[in-house]
Amino acid sequence: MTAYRDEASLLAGLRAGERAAAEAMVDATYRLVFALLCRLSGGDRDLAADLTQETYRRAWPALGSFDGRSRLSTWLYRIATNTYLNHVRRPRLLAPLEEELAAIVPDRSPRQDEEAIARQGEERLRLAVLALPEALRFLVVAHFWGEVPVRELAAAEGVSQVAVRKRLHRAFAVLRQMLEEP
Amino acid sequence: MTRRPTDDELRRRLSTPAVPEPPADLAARIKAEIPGELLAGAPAAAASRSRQHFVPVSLRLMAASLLLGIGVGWVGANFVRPPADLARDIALDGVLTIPFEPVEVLVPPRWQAERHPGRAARDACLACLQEQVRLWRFPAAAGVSVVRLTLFVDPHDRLHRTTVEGALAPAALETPLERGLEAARGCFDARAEARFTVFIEFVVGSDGKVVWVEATAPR
Repeated sequence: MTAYRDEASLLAGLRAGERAAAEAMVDATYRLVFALLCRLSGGDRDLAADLTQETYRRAWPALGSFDGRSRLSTWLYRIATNTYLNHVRRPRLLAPLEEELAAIVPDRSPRQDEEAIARQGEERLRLAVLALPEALRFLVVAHFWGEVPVRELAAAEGVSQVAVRKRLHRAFAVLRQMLEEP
Repeated sequence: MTRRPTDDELRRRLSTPAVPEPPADLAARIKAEIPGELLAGAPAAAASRSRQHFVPVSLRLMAASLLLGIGVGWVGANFVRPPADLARDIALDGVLTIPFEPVEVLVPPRWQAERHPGRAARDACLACLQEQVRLWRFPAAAGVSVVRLTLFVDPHDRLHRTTVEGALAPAALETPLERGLEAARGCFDARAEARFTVFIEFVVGSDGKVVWVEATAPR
């Protein structure tokens, strides 16, 4: 945000249609958006990069409707999350793993047991977060993976901070249930 | 004996720092796609800023009246037609949407199931849920199937969730729903509350494409 002191001046630049403002917005946010998409996609860097590009493709035409209630990065997180969900909701991605394909997936055990277990745990957590009801999912994704503070989420969602905390608490209750281990 | 992660454990696992570096050319790729329209207002805006103090008062008044008119129009338009949900629009961007009627889905957004007094709790609740499910009408149009269906039963602050995935014809939904209800019954058994909230989220598809996405999650 070199030529733009703060987000308000950046926003003014964007509204005036300044290319430099758009580039500054990219510079200030693309790493955050990429990191969030990396978490959402389970560490798939190529997919995260493609979806980051797609996120901005969707953001440009919608920029006029951004009301400045939240930070630009929070707004982009919302678009990024929807972009990812849209991607995985395609039926082709819901198809079960083919038997032939399963056969060539390398079996990493037992030499990397601990690492594999940790990875499995992370994957379970990621899938559990993705399976949360929509109203809870974005809050968890943005708060923990996007490091958006509760105050900022409350502003973005148009609710009180108490309501955000309650929803996060509720999300935790669901996650605890989903991640229950025998 | 089952073990559930604690809040602290969940918080720690969710907060695990993992910040991978993006590809070196990603910023350039994004910037290359900044549309031209974004730049359309730039020269005009810059010029208007530099000329601002030369604009006569009468012109400023005219501009103010014009802006007031536009403002009134905008307010009117928004009262007549509320602004669309941007998040939803974005989520559905690129997804072929079809009108509501052909995909006949009538599921109450949220309803309450109550224990029937004088009957065994689990049977009373299950019967109540089954009554509700019989009222649902699922996609009836040819070629339309349910890609994912999730049944939630929410005894206040805890959710019980059953998800079914795959291209399911409407007729094939009965079994997974029964399974979901059976699982939900366990949830009733374990709780003492007299009232439960039930809601459902589903994704409908046709010919291999997602055509309609709806969630009736609580707001």
